[in-house]
Parts: sequence; C-alpha cells; structure tokens
Amino acid sequence: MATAFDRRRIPGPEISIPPIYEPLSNENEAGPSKRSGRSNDEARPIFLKTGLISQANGSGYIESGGVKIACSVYGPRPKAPPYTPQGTLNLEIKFAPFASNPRRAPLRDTEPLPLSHLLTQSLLPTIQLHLLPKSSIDVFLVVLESDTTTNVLSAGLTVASAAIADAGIEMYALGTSAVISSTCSDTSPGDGTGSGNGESILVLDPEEEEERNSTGKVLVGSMPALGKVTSIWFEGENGIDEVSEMIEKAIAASRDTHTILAQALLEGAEERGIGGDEEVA
Amino acid sequence: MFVIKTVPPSSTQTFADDMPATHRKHQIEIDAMQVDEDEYGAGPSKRTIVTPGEIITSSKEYMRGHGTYVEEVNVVSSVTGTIERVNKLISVKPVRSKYTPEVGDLVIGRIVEVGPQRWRVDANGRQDAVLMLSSVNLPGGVQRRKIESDALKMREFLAEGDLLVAEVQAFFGDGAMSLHTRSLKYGKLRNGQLLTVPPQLIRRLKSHFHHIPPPCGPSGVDIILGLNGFIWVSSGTSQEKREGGEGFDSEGVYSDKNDDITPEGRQAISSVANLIKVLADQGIPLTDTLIEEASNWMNQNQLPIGPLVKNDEQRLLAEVVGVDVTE
Repeated sequence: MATAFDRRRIPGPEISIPPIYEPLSNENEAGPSKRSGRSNDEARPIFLKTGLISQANGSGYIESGGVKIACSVYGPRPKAPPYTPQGTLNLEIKFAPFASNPRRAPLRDTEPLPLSHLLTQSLLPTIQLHLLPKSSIDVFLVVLESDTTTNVLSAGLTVASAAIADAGIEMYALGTSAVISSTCSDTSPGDGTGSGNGESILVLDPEEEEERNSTGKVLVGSMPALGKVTSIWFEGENGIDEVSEMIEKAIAASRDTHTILAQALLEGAEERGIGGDEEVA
Repeated sequence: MFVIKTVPPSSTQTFADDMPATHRKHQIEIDAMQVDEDEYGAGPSKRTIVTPGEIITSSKEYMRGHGTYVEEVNVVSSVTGTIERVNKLISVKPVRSKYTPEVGDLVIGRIVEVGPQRWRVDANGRQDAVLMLSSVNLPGGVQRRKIESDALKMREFLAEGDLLVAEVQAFFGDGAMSLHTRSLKYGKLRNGQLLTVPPQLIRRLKSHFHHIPPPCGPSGVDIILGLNGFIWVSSGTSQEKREGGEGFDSEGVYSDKNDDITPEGRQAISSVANLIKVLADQGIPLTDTLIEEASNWMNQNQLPIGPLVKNDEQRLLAEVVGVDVTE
C-alpha cells in the first residue's frame, strides 16, 4: 500500500511489539466499566463541558461511557456561491488513530463518512437554518476514544448540540439521544441468534459486549424540550411492540441527558460571568 | 405508538406548583408580573438563563423578540442566554454569539477580498461586510469624484489583510452589512495592535475612540473599541491629527508604513492590550473609563514590564473592577 502512504506523518517502526502488562489482581479495578453495579435502565455517568476550544465559535467536550469526543463549531460564516436561501450544515466526524481497538489507519478509514451522514440527519431538525441565508455552519467532531458506533453517535449528538448552543446559533431545541439494546434472556451470551421465545432484556447505554450479544439496538435522537424525535436508527431483529418499547425507553433516557446538557450550558454561561451570584459592575 | 407525555426535566425551569399544568408559567414571568405590580417599569428583568427549547411564556400575552420563536402557543428560547423584557416584548440575549450589527455601529474589520467597485470585509459578523468604493474617502478631499482609474487602483488604497475602522451604513437583504468610512475618523489602521474579544463585552458608548494621555507611553495610547469585538490599540496621536485638524496628513491616510514608535511607546501599547485581555477573560464589559482606570492603576503600582502575573491580575480586578476572583 505504498500509494496510501502519507509523507506528512512520521511512520512508526516497521517491527513493533505490544507491551506486556502485569496481570491485574482484580479485574473490576481497571478496564472498561462493566454493567455490574448499575441496573438495566441506568446510563453511565456523563461529563460535558462547553467552551474548551478557544478559537472555535462554539465547542464542547463529552465523556460518556467508553466514548470521548471533542466538538468544535465554526460559523455561521459566509458560504461560497451558489446562493442558498437556507444555511448549510457541514458535519464531519473524525477518529483519532488511537480512538479504537484495533488502531485506525489514517486516511484509509471509511467508517466516519456514513456516521457523519447519520449524525447530520439527527442534528438538522434542531437548528433554525432558515435564519441563516448564504451561510454555513461547520461542525467537527474528533473522537478520542470509542467503544461502539451507536455510542459514538449518541454522545456525538449531545456534544454537537452543546457546541452549537455554545456558539449562540439559533436552535429549535437541544438534541440528545440514547441507545437501547435488547438481549434474549434464554440464549447464552455470544450466541447472538436471538430466536428464543424467552423474554428479552432491554438495557440502556449498552457496553461493547452487551451490544455484541444483542438481538437489536435502537438509537433515538430527540429534542426532549419539545417532545419531538429527530431520528431513529434501528439495527437487528425484534418484534414491533418490543421496538416501540425500546424507543419509549430511549426517549425517557434522553430526557436525563437533556438535564445534563442544559446544566453544562448554564455552567458555561456562568463561567463567562453571566448568571452567577456576583453581579459585575 | 409512542407519545411524550411530560415536559422534560430542566434545571432552570421552575414552575409554580399551585397552577394547573396547562397554565404553567415560567418563574421569570411570575417575577415580571410582580415587577409590574410594584412599579411601572420596563428593561432587563432578573438575570435568568434559559437554554434552547425552554418555554419562557405564553405567546398570547407576550411578543417574541430576538432569540426566541413561537411553538404552538408558547414563546420558546432558541439560544442560551439571559431573558430580557421590554413591556410585552420578550427576547433572549445570547451568552456568546457572532456580532449582530446595527446601523450606526462602529466596527473594525479586515479586508478579505478586493472585488469590482467594492471590498469584502471580515467584521466578525455572520456574513462578510461590504465596503463600496463610493462609500470611502479617497486622498484629495471629500468632494473628490471617483473615476475609473480609482476602481483600478483599489488595491493601492486597501489591500487584502488591511485593517480599517468603519461605520455600519445599511444592510443587504441577507443581513450582510454595508460599511462606510466617509469621515476623517474612519479609515485604515496602523501603528498598533488588534485584539479580539467577545462582541457582547463592548458596550455602546458616546465615543468609541479613546485616548489615554501620556503617563501611559510617550505620546499616550489610542484605543478604538469596535462594537464587533475587535479592539485596536495604537500609538497615541493628538486630537487635531486624529480628526482632520491642524497637522492631519490627508495624503497618508492609506499609507502602509508604520510610524517610528519608541520602545516605551510599544510597551505602553502592549500593556494596555494586556489589561484589556485580563478584563475580557473575566467577562467584564469594557468601557473607556474602565480601561483608563486600569491603566492608571498600572502606572501607580509601577508593575514590572510584561504580562501581568496571576497575583497582580487578581489585585487589578479587585481594586479597579471590584470583582473577587480568588479561588
């Protein structure tokens, strides 16, 4: 693959040996967090902060489960011709080479493109683009750590809304999302057939392994403040009633995320000296 | 198949419990009504921050202003910011956003493109501003007619990357501003340094040109506070030279050459620039008096040359602004 070689990058050595770690005494102490310790309808804690990237018009950083994303928003800024009566949203997801296991090859990575499209679709209904003729909004998400693509999209929508709101761009409401996966209780883990008649378990914010063993997963993007859904992405095989229940649960979960998102925006505002206790002269 | 039954939990939405759910009112509205009872007064109401999508009040009683939209029967916020109320008009002022121009505003901009009969100027707005050849003063006086050769020489007056101070003259259909520099106060900038602060921090003042007299540098320091958040800090000039009086160099208006500035003059410029940065980092609205007071404070305290150390920064903010930032 000499053609795909990027001369601007410093290549690693030709031979490399993975480091050998001393086995951990207790497996629970390190590594990705396990479902142990939280119930099926409990999400992992979220850390969200706005305004960390100073040169962007708006920015956000999220740590949610096994995902870490930095998002920067530039705009609204003038768009090159042709004339568009509405603003355009350009969104790009990029994975850092170290963001996933195995490492991603720079430039040859094809996964971000469909993800960018999916995220654009779920973000579009939240922005008042009709107020921005001839303008464009550019949103860049850099994934620093990832577990599953659905979790990346879920955290991506939340952080992108935070960054757009931080940029002061007019929105309809904040977009948040949640992931629900269903696992058949009577099938052994790893079987993945999901054909059993047993009752399925719905889990919120699934981890990598839970999602691998699931029969279906659904990602719902919504605007909890307005009670509207922006996008639904379902993958797998489930009964219609079950899918409805999954969507209901996802919507309920994204309301909790909305609270965190609103809180992060308020804290961001307070850091700029607005709304805090101290009144500035 | 699925319905959303309740309003989402929101950290700022506090509803009065004694009202039926259909008549819920935002706390700010309840406060506003109490204000109305006490005194007949308008103006910014209590500092309450809302996030996009948050219901502020009913659109039947109030009109929607900037930063809001109407969803069904409610006025809903569309940005993160503080609620402001003028009589029946509710608007939300964003915490941070690009500059929203108004006619008559003084702005500082940078030329990005020289086009036919016009310059395109980046003035921190949503769209690039436009400066028409017909709305600038060319060397040779106000009455000078613009001829074809002037259009060909446009790059000699203002080239890409040049900074200028101008006034917003009008708007185009898409919200882009049209600028003019038809006053001797406006025009190309030199002998100084540009600072960029959030546009929300610049207040509308009587004059946006400010001169800090000589103890601050050998000839003082001039400050231009552009409403778009661009601030120009430059070597001081006398009143007459600035406004076209005695000693005004009308031929040198479009000069690209900086004057000779003494090291002390440069120090004064950068120390004023540092002061402004310190104030802006804390989100303190900038005015001419505040900057002058801060500059006097610097002179009185005989601080060492260079950026302020953390300790001095805190003292400055405490003694001049009255803000305690100790953590």
